[in-house]
Amino acid sequence: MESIYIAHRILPATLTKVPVHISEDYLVAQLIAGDHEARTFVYDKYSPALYGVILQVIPEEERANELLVKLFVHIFRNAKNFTTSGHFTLFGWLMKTTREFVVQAIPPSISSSVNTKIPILRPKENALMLFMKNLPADVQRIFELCYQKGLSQKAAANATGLPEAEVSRLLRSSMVELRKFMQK
Amino acid sequence: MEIKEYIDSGIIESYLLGLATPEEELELQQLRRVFPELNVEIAITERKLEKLAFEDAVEPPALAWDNIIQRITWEETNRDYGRTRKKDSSNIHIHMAPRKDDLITVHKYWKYAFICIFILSKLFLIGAIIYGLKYYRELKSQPAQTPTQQEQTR
Repeated sequence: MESIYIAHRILPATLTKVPVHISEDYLVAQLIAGDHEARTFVYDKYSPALYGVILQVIPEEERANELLVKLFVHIFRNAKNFTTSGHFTLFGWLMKTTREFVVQAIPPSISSSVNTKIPILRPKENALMLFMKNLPADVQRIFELCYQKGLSQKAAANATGLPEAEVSRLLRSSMVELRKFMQK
Repeated sequence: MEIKEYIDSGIIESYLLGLATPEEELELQQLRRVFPELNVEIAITERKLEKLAFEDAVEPPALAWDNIIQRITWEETNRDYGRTRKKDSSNIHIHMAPRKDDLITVHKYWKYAFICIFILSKLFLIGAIIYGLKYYRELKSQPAQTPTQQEQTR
């Protein structure tokens, strides 16, 4: 198993062509043990996706980089939390952790000034934009506040002046749309 | 079926993206113990979200990985110096890289060294004052004696 990591390290080009399937249980066990090659593998595989998730909310490159570093240091240090997190795939846990980090890192100035439009720098034509484009205006607004600006449902209710139940309903309907979107 | 409606309400997506309220999350955690199909659906949704996230993937700058390794190695070297070093001999990191802010990082043992130096310096100071005063008093009590007389008295 070790040799797979090493091969990947030496020949990254071959990996992009031939997907290597290694048992996730084994990977997680190695990750918890603090194995360097396992960490390298996890970083190489998941960091672009998670960096994309960070950039959706924090478009400034320097802050996004700093957060990515903090995130992976946390992940490597607390890899054993995955086993008790109730997630089934490593990515599920990574995604949830990333979202928690991102929401915490949003400066209060941004989340309170609801009307400032955060430009998403890259990638320009991304799946998130594609998904948001087709949402009804009110649903889109709530999704943006909660997902991209990291507001809690309560805070989004305060910001928009809508009752909390309505925010909850709109947010949930965006999730139903996401469900359909991912089915495609 | 009720559980299907629950799944279709988007609760799992909401939970996985961290958008659910603590109450909703608690409810989901309780229900998944009773309904195994919820767990199946969570696993499926995790994979779908993974696929979606990879569509929006952005390659992070190479420097990020160096920073991560540096921080991790720094911590682990501190924690267990010998073991990590032997195990990870391919990675040699010099932990003297300046940090961005105005602070420096030193080993924990310096704390005890500084405390010892501080206490010792106070002890010497007190000693110097006590013996200095003693010496001064002695000088004062024998003001008339010349050095030769002093020698004689001894």
